[in-house]
Amino acid sequence: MADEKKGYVWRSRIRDRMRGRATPLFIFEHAAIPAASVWTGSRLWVEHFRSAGLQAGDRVLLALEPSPAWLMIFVACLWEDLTIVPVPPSSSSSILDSIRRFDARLAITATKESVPAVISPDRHGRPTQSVTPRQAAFAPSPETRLILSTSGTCGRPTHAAISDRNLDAVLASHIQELGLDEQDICLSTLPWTHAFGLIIDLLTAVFAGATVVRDPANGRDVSTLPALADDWDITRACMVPLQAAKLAESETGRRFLTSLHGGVIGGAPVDMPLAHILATTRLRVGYGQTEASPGIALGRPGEWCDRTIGLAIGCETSIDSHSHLLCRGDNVCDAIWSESVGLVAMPAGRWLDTGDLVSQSPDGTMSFVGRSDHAFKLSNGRLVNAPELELHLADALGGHAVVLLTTLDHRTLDITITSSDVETLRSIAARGDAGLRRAVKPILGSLMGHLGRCTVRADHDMARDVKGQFVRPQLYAHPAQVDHTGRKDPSSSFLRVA
Amino acid sequence: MTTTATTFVSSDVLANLGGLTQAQANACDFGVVQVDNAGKIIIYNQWEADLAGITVQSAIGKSFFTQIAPCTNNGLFFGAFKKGVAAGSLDSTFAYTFTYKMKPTNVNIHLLHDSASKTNWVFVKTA
Repeated sequence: MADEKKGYVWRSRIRDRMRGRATPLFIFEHAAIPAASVWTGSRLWVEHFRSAGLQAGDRVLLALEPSPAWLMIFVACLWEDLTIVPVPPSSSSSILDSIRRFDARLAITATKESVPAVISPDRHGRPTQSVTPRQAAFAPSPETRLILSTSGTCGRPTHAAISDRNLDAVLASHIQELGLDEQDICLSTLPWTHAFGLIIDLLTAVFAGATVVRDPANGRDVSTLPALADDWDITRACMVPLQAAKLAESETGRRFLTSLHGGVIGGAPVDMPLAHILATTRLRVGYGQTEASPGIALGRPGEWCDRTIGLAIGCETSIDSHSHLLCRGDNVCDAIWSESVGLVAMPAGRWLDTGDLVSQSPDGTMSFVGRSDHAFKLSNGRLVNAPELELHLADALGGHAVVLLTTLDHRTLDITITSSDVETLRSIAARGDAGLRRAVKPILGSLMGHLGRCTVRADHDMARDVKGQFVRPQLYAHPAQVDHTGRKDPSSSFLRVA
Repeated sequence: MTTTATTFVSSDVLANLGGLTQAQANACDFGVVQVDNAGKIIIYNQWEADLAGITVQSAIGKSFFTQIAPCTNNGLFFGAFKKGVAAGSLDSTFAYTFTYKMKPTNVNIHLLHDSASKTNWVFVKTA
């Protein structure tokens, strides 16, 4: 009770879940550690932080690979109400840059070099030398438990300040809905530096008392996952669609996916071909954003359709007149971290505009339509709602087509059609340029006058971002830099099947 | 469920498990624990007692997995023991992290059923 009064909301939970306990159990390539030893290791780190003079709200940069030491330090930071900034391990110069960007007082990394305010764990995960923390430029952030950065695939990364209330809300809603318990053996492949991998995958398993098996390849080689799953009797796994799609390419991968008792696919939309495969599994879609800690919606196990994002969980959602998905609740972060001014408080109880365009079926299930920032204006001021048009164009072309509507010069619209399904690609290519123009005309209407190239390309020929989403050229090229003549050139249409 | 770790138990100990006494076990420079099929401790050597911070006498007769080392009461450790004993083929080595005197300590574990003497063993060595 005394702990709760002082604001240390994690202490009783950590004590109950870890002290003297055999689970949660964490299995790494060269080590296995039960909760009891994570707990005793965390006590050493708590003493270390206290002797270094750290206080609640001081920011600590955690720049280690997933490891027993990472867990001990994370638990110690929770215990002390420190603000944890998990970042990928990197060079000393990058660490110093991160220390400055997040105004951290201390950084923990595996470096052998002597760097001010940086400490490394020993091979048992214990703290080593004493270190003097740096002076922070900004005030401590005792209400902020985590600072998590967005992936940056939708623009510059944002640093969400996740509070105890945010974290607690998402863990409470998701552990119950996912049905996690001590019998579960979870395969962890996602980074612990991002909201999905850290909160939805790792922390739900930790607070459910499950066993966590960490993929030594950190999710980069999915071909090893089926064997890993066999070795450890894995029951659950969370992954991004790109990983699931790669697994679905092989028989062993598909067997692995169908063997799972549960897990969440999230981080990017799931297209129809993958949805068909996932419908034969007990996996479910998860949707969220880092600023929502990150859980906003979950699908039901095995219920998949094109671009589904499931039903709202633990928060209130609304779709505005422009189809933007808004979210409000205890999961929505209370502040954003700014490198120049520190914590920037956000209005309490605000609606978070996800920037995603969604549609909703009568039963409440939502589907992703596109990013609102994928809409653009032509130089004559006409708004092109690309995500919505793309869906209609894809429907008109049939099969499993994916259509991208882009512009490089803000005068000409280019259409790129792709599909992972060879038959769909062939049938679309067989229409020829004239046939394609006829097919898209009813949807584009007066925009036909701006139509430039119609290109058919193989799926593997398309550039993708880290989430596996197609890269849109107009995001990276300004018209003035591409076309100085201002010519509109509809005759440049061509058809190519790569 | 076994991770990679080579056995550290000397061949003379392995060859004489059926006749190994408490005194002989005490002479080993690694942890030697003999348990029955339920996990009740029959031999608990001095090396293990020193690291765990308990006396040999207090350990004998207790359950290794639930009373003396409750952090082993999970699928990887006790689960592997029960599975191996039931199958009569317990021979599993893996890396683990014990807490000795309130400090996490990396160890290598070898769980073994000696079919000749019908005895079960937990061997522990710091890594």
